[in-house]
Amino acid sequence: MSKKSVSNTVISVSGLCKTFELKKKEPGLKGSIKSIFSPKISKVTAVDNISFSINKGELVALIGPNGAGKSTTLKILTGILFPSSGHAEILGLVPWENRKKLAYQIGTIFGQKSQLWYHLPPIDTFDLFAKIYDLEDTDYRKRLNYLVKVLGVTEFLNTPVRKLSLGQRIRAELVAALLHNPKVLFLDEPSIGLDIIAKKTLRDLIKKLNKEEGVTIILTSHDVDDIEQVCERVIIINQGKIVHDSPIGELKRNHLNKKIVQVMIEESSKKLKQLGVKVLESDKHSMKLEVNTNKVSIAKLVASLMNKYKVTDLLISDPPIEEIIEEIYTKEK
Amino acid sequence: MMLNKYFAVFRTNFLNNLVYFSDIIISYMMSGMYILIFIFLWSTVSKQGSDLAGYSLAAMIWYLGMTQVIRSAQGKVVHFVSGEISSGNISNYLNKPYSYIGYNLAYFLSDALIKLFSSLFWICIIVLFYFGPPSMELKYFPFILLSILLGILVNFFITLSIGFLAFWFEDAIPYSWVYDKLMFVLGGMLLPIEILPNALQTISKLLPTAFVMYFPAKVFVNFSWELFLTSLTGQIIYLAFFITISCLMFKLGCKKVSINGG
Repeated sequence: MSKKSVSNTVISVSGLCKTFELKKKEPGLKGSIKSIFSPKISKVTAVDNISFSINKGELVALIGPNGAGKSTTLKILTGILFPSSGHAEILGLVPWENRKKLAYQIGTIFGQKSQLWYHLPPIDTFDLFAKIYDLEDTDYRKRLNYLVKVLGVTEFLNTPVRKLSLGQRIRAELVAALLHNPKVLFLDEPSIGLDIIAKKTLRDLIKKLNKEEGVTIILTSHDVDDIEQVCERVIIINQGKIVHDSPIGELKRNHLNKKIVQVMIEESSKKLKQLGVKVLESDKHSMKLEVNTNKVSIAKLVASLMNKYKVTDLLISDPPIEEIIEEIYTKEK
Repeated sequence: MMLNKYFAVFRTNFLNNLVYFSDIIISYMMSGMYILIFIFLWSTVSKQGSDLAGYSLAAMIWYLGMTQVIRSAQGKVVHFVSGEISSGNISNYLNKPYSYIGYNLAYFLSDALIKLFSSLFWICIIVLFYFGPPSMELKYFPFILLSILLGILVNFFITLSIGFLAFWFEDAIPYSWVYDKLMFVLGGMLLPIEILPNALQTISKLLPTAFVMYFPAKVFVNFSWELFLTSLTGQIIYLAFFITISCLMFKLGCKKVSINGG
């Protein structure tokens, strides 16, 4: 590792493990009584010996299926959880030992847990956060004016949070997380539940923050689009272990080169034969195709489908993240 | 500067409560209903014999009214804290640059202020109507207020410690039931401790529940320097004890936090 990259390292994680204890109960009344006197406790490894480092200004996606250990990793890195073993440093601070000191340097959004006061307008939470982060009043006003303008929060600044749409709420959450000028931003499933337009706005904002303010961003998601469109580097976690760590370009070339195309057609018995297209399911009225975009572009395929059939409906989607992970496993083995 | 952030939490929760201020005022009408029942009950007892363990009927009702006010101001600390721990919402607090205990103290003191005055409003209307003002000299008011405030603080740190049990147990609520029942019977909430049998009286007056409920209410209806100083001493001792316990539990409990999923 070069001297420059050492001094640029913002996050370093080495051999991090987190094990949870899980109480198990057999079914029925007998099981309930038994669990009182001799409870069965099993250990679940949520994070299993992971190591990585992230440099200043990187925009990294931490992805994986549900229960892979993404959120647990983020919660350890933000000082919320204590690890079972291993070491981590964020900006030179061990998160679980310097929780309060680190809080001034990082911003967090946990998509499913709001930090806004539900019955109050966002401005009241922002005022509170300004005090919590010891911001000078003039600095706070300047920063707030900038953020509400950039994130488009002005129009609902004084509307109670309970009356905001999910997209508006997430934007307000971002303002709250960025008020204190964090150097590192942890976004845990920030796009969960958002519609397409809100997702696009959020992705643009994340890129803007990274580019214009140089904020190092770690994003967890199980939405392939989030990763493709936003991140420069991808770390894939499965069953607590890192199974892949590469720039997004490499992942795209090797693993994100497939799309699923579902086509509804008027009755036809013509067979589709095209290079790079695998027919997964087919009948007289519909087809499900797996397309290798390295071999055939989606535009070319759609044009060819239109020529050959009377298409009534078309749906293009990514393969589920579980399939991508499975493929990575198979290829690496 | 350090206290600014806690004052801001106090202020924000106060604003939050003001959103539904009329609802709170109406919900505390029940405190008035309780005191009406006590008035009818103790009026009947009073007719059978004049002695109410040294309390006049008016003093007894003002005492019970004050225990209702103190009870209202206490808030549901156990439910709130244990709920945040069990649900994983505690993560929203642990990643902020403040003390989690300090945050909750500011939050619940703000709650206490609104709830105390909402409850006091209804109880005063009813008790003033039946018995007139309490026999309290205004010059003692700051000391009475201090006694009530310290009682609220002792209760806060006891209930916070009970809430922190959620770090180790799946449900901390059953432990709060035990505490609530102790408060009800031995803490002087149902009736003044003097009415209990002698042996129980001695024990009850030493328990922390007495310094939360009985002593502040008695200081209100029957102020004496001796009573106030006894109350103050006990409250300071128990406050120091439960602050230590809750801080220790939080420090150890944080290592046990397990948040499943996002």
